[in-house]
Amino acid sequence: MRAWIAATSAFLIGFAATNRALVSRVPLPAEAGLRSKVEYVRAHADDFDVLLVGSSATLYGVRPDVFEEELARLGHPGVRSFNLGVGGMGSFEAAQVLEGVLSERPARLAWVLYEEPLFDPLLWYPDVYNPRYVHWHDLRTTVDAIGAVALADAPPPYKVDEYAADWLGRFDWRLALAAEHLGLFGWRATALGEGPDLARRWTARDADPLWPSRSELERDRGWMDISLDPEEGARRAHEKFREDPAAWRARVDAIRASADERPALEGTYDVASLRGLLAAIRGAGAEPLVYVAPRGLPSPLMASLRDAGELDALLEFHLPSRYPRLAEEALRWDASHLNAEGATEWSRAFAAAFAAHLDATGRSARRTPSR
Amino acid sequence: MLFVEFRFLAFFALVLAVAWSLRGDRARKGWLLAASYAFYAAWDWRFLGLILLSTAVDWIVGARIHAAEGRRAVQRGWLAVSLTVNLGLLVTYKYFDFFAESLNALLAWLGIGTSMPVLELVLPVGISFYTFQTLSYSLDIFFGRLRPARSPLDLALFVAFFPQLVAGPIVLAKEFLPQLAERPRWQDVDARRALVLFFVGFVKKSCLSDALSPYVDAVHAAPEAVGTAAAWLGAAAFSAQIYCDFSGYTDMAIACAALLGYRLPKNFDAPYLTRTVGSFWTHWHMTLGRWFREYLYVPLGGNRRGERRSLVNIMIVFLVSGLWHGAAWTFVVWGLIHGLFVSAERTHRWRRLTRMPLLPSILYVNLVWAISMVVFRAQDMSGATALLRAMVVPTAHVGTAGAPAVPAWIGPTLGAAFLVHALWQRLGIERRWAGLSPAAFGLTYGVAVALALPWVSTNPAPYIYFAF
Repeated sequence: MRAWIAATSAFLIGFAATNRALVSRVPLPAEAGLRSKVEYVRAHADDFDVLLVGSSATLYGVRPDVFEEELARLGHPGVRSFNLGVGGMGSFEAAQVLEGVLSERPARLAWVLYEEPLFDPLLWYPDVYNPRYVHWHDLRTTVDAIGAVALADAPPPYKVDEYAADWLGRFDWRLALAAEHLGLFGWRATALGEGPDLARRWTARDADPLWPSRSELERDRGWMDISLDPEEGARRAHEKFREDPAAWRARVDAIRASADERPALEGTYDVASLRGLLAAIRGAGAEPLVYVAPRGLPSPLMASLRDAGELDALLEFHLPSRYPRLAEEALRWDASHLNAEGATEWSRAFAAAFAAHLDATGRSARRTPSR
Repeated sequence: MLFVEFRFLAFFALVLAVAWSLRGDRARKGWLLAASYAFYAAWDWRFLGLILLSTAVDWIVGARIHAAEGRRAVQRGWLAVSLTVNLGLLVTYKYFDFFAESLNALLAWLGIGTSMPVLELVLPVGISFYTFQTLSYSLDIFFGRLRPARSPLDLALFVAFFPQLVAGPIVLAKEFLPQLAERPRWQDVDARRALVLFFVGFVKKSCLSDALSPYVDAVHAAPEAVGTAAAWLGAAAFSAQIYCDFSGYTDMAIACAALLGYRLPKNFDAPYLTRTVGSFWTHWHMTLGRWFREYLYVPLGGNRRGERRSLVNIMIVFLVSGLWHGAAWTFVVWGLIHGLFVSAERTHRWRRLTRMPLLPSILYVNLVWAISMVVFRAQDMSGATALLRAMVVPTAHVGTAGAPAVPAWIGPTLGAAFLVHALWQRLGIERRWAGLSPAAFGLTYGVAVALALPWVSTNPAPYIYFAF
């Protein structure tokens, strides 16, 4: 028995030490430019006053150069901003990415503008075990995501049958979803399948140059013109949008109709994760400001959060009543994204709303020397 | 349920814990039988009936043959029942369509306007393996080398024992049934050695075989688009893949059985380091070679009836061995190639091969193997011909449409496969590792597992031999 205890203890020590050394060296997934953008920001953590963190709506929609120019015109000159929008980046992933950036203790960072923190635990992509999902499933984020599973009201429609067929899903689809999160945590915790990436990193032989390139990041500071996106999906979405303008008008009407809705937060929203996120930003010496991107969807939960005092302020760019230009078909690439002209428009509107917030609260867009 | 899947590890942990906690031997064997049936049902529960039928028939036949001792004609009759039922099932499920389609093609060629129907049945996993095992039971009783099993439970567990049920090693009744006579003791289990074997089998399959599989698949998916270099690389990759796949499975099967207290026979012994094709077949899938030797080659007369008859017997064995692997002309040709080389090596002129220096003789065996495995792996004879042509006639199709791109990692993976194959047994790593002190063993095992996991394929392919 003593021999077994010694062997088991030694196994655990050997496994944990080696595993920890490996997992800490697993690079960020390169998909959708995540690695390139995050590594760039982390390497230049002291260069920016404002970070915009969000999904593809932010990636394609906010031009830092226009944003800064408009801020300067409105009395807030010298601001340096970076668009940390990444396609498909949800709240849990974004929170983890931001945590990595904040761990660099960015000396200059004064504001984190954060897109609609929904903390949606649903795993929307058909290929659940994709590198992006795997990577954000560290222990803490997995616990947070599983905690939020109970608040979800329905699975993605296309996964209803899949969950029903799963033996855990036969009891409750949430159990199957929680099992998926646990599985992703298992992959992440063991660095499963990460060998080739680790080897490429160690041998400094990345097969493909990272996208976006360093020069592109320096030039556009994270923004991307969606018409240059090589992904087939972007082109298809554009064609679909152009073919059916009535569908877009219906979406705009739906947003208008739901503008006054205020759903209850209790039992529907992961307030704890939001509080943790805001506290982490403030802990790094920056101020958070939440916004809703003009991505053609209503966002009554964010309004409820503001009304409940969980958010100090909320910039609602999705509301056609306040930003009618952003709802115009001519400025849109598809239902979820603005085209380059729309990005210019939104960047100006964003700067104006941000400047108004700064003026109203008496804050600066840059850190004051005392901070 | 693949051995390299997490659910198998969970399943096996449960089976192991319950098996060693049960006090009664019957309960233990009953539990293992239930677990074995559950394991098989995880593939396809509908075919459990075939295993039960095969077991029941051989239970009755074994008892009748034994009871008819001294009455050879009666014994032959009962043996014929076993052969008919077992081989009948195998032929129906595995070969009927092949023979029907071949006959139809022949009839069409002769201009005879009739055809046999094809059944399009699903091949039950492991049928070739458990059929040979059950046959060994009746045959050994018939040859007087074995007494019937003490209980149907013992026989059923021998047939269905899950570590070796779907892809061997092919265990003979005479070596497994005696192990069921007494309850195994945990003190007799060399758990460390079993864990080492399980780990190396896991690495072979999940880190090496599965890493090579996509390139091999790509080469064989577009044989016409493959150039000379890619064809040779594909052949080398498949040689490494099938070794890592099959011997990896075997290692894990032997390890699982050992942890449950049972011994399964060795199935591989560094085959790619042998010096003749004949010798290769005593180091590759050793339990299949043994089965054919004991139950086909020797009953055919072996080498007792002169050299010419012995060569004919060898050709018959390899022809049947080819067909055992699959119902397709590619397997027939593959079997014939090996039969020809093994026969030729027995002739006076070819015996000089055994006196060749080590490296050229190893190269000769590996060339024969790699080239024959192109036929083995090909979808059909035209695919095999295209690849063999590309190997012989210098062409450079690489880079054209449909040609598989050569992955950057294929060199290191082949190198690792070679090291595992060449050094593992030669240096006695398994024995040395298992012989470390408990703490040193645990520490190194933990480090090794952590180092291996990043190289595990996240998309495990089924074991190649499951298809046979």
